[in-house]
Amino acid sequence: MENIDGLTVEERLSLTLSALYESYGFLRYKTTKFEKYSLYTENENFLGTDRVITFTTDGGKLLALRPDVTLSIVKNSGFSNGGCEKLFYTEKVYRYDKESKSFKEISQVGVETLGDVDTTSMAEVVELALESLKKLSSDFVLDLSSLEFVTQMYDAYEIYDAELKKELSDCLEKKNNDAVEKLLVGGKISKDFADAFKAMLSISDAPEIALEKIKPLIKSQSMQRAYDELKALTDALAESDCYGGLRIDFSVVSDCQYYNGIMFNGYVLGMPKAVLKGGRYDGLAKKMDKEIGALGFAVYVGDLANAHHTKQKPMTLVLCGDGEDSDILREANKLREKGLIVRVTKTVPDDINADKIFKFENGELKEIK
Amino acid sequence: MINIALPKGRLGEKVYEKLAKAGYGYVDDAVDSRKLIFQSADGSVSYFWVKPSDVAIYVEKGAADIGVVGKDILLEYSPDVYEIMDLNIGKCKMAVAAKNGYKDDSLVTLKVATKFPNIAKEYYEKQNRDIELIKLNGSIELAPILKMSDVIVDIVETGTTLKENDLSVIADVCPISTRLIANKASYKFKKEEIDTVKEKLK
Repeated sequence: MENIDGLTVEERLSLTLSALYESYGFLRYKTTKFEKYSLYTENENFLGTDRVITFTTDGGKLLALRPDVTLSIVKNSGFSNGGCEKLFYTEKVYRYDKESKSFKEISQVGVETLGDVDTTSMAEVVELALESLKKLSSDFVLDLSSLEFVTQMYDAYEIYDAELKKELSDCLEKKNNDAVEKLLVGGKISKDFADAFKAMLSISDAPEIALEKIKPLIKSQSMQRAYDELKALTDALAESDCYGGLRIDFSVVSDCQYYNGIMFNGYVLGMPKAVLKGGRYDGLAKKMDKEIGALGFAVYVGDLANAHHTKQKPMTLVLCGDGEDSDILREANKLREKGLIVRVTKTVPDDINADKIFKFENGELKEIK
Repeated sequence: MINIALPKGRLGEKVYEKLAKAGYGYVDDAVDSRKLIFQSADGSVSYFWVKPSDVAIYVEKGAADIGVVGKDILLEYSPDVYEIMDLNIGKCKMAVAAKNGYKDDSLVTLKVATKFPNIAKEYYEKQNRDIELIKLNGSIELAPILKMSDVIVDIVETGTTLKENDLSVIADVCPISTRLIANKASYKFKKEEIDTVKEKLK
């Protein structure tokens, strides 16, 4: 992490990541904090909740405090054919937190690619995700999954029941082998499928190893296509500096019907949950009548910043004592010129880590600590 | 070093015993002392004794890499963790019980007393049944006896408590057993160590 004086950890992280995205030619996307409430009611499935902070304007319009940036970017994208729109943002969003049963302000820095999202664009976004993690910690892992491969596996084994798919998705997300076994014992799935599914569920490996494990699971042309896409993507990244942090792991799933293709979660050592989440969501663009590919991710910089306790820099105090105002200001500035952080105060504050204390006594500045 | 959250009580002790026997070694007074944290003899494992219902929280928040917890807690709180193994101990079931002779009237809202509101809510939602939830923290069996609720949704092990209070099971909700769970991020960075513990518990 770059050390930039005077900024909070969150601001530093945002700046570092923004500089990274700018270096890839991504343009900053800036938006207001408010959005029409209807955007969120129409896309509740994508958002995963119907709880947003709303308010009514003087004109009677119902607005919401933005719970998500991606929806606004897709809605406002004028992109149609050829090439890609590449954007990044640094925004705060407001979401309902089930744990605390209240709304939380969440700081995100994110990337979105809209348009003709081919293997090159996908590889670039995944590389950016890997590079982002590297900026946060030297120990990182990016779990990459293919929803398409999972979906095609269901089709190949003729699993169409939505309730059963939900149960299987839950097994995948929790790496719950025993629950798959119970579905087999309960006669809900076949032995062949259970074996293949458990093999997929246990994968959490570097791409070369994982792809070897996936190969024998391919049962249809559609599964082969999904495998080829995953292989082409990881092959494209093989020479990247951050490739060592990439794993294939199918526990990255989503029940949201708008996600398709690849999904990924990023972890850094010392943080208990994913600090980066992303994936392909062509379905959302299609719902908004846009026949374009869409891929992006968000880094939860607020969570990362909260894990770092800011250490207060040592400060020099100048106690006013009986000093004249002009003398106090002049002497304080003299100390600042020496490179010290100087606070003028009447008494010693409890919350300040003072390494030196000066005081005006009989009109003269004396060092008392 | 791997951090393991164990539930205070019989089940936690059983798992500790199994791990100690499997090679992590015994620690003096591990079970009897009031110490909350202790390390295995070889220093490779650190155990915490925590309230059974808190194990999932310790693991989800990353204070513990893995933990031992009942399926009831996982169903009730849905923590974002990997559920890596059914330890096949602490087997019991989540069930609906009522006073002996109770007849359900589907035309009225069912009053359900429980320690597990989310499990009860999901169970009745699947049946499209309108219910009034009464969240209690203990002595659930008292609720139907005092006519505060029509039924209870609770863990049933032997059924003795129900029998002694003139209650009986009228429907099974789901089987329950003890699970080994892992923090998702820990699994990325300590997979080998976690898999070793898993193997030792098989």
